[in-house]
Amino acid sequence: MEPQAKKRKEMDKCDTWDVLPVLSDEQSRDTELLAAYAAPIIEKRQTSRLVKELSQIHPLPSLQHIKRVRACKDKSTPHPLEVIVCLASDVQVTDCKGVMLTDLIPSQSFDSSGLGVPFLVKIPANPPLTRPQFEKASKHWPTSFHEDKQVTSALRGQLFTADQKAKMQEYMTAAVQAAKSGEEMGMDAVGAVIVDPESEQIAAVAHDCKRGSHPLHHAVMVCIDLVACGQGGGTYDYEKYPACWFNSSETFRNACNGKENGLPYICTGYDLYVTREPCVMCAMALVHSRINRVFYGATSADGALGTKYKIHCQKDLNHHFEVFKGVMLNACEALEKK
Amino acid sequence: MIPMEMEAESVKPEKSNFLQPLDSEIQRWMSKAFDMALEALENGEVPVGCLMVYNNEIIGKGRNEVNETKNATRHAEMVALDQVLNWCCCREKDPKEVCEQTVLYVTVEPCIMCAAALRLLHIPLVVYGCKNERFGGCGSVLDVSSDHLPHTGTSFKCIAGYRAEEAVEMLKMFYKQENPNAPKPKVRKDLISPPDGAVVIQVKRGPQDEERETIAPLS
Repeated sequence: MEPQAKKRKEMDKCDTWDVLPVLSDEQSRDTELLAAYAAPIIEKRQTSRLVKELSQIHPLPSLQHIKRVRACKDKSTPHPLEVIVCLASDVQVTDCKGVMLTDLIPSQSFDSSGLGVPFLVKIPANPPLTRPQFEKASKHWPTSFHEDKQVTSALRGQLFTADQKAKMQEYMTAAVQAAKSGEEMGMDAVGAVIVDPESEQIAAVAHDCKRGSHPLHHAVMVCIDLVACGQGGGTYDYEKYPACWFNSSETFRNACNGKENGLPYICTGYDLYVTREPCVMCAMALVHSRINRVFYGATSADGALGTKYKIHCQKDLNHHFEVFKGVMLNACEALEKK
Repeated sequence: MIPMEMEAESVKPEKSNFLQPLDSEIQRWMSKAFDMALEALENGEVPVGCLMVYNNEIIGKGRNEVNETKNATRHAEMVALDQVLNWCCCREKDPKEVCEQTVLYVTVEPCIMCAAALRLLHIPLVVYGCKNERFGGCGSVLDVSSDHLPHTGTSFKCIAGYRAEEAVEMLKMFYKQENPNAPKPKVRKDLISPPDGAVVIQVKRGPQDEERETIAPLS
């Protein structure tokens, strides 16, 4: 046991970290733009008819997020509204400056009264998923936005309360301690902790054991197997590694059994705290184990939860989860440097 | 497209013979893998069979142990890799040296996790049956087998599509018997989509034309 003063000092040192969400490519990409033709609506009363007819001729199926009509903010313009006619790629126009409505709308039956001379605009190609994307997109043309409140507050650094951050620090401190214990045994300094966030209890703690007997015993793999041990399963014996353990206390078992959804099943509903970003094997093992959330400290060169891959939001996989990085970043990075 | 691209520079010239198994060899080991898959099917287990061959000897084989260990990472390949390591330990052989000359024969494309584990242990060649559209790590979902991951072991070569239709058929049978009450899966051409996130397998090509074409010369 370390003296209290030393412990506190260590806690203070790493109290400056921020939790950052690791977003999908769709969530973090820059706003892509498409060229489109818009036209002023000179007679406001024609608006609904024009919109209806235009969306029959040029339905824009891949641009459901685009609002067809925009109000002109500039009060001095002679027309209050503008409407998207079509995408530039929908029509073949040789001279886009002198373009006429008849170039864009081949239909004879279309009544263009009320519409002015078309002009080129840039519109967002994809629906905005985050508030920064929405703000950027709206500068070009109004879009609808189904805000993911959690992602927005996460991006603002407001997702977690001070109390929650204190809990995170507690769990990550346990992971850092495990990493150090492993290191003393000649292992790589990586530690992992799996937590049941509902009962706020640790389910298992592990460190890297791959320099021991088994090259696949990364901290996360050991931690997953220790959770299995706690559920009456498991494959390996960790007697050699006293810092690797699972929670067998009665209070934990009672908390698990008291759950509405029955007996605990693999890592369903659990959070993982790991000192560094998992590799692709460990990341996919977490998908198979149905982990709830992952918090890691430092990034890894071949990391699979943000760096090389984003397994947690990989299309086609049947389980997705949230990932946050930067938890006790300094303390976690210090482990690597030794 | 068949994910059989390899990184030629990772293959030493003296090993090229070993990395080009004869058709007869593939047939022999894969038929054993298929026997294991069938045995699993008959015992109500996911019908995936795999074996690891070193120096013309089976040094590891496995089947899925997820349910009995309550550990979702206990796939057939992971079980077989444990046996390989154990085999090395008993004979005091260096695991890396052995693994570098070991071939995995498996009836279904390894998942992303297993593909990464195979890289970490430097297995150079995987011969497999059908694709794993849901989890596949050798091209179906990700291409862990050949992606540039300098800190994740060695990339490996794949020979795909051996008796693929048969492997799919076994999986279909398993999912049929497994959950007769499950809602009808959406069926696309060549694609079954069993309920509850089970493995979905797709046949890319027939086994006949596959055999010859995918055993590409190394250079």
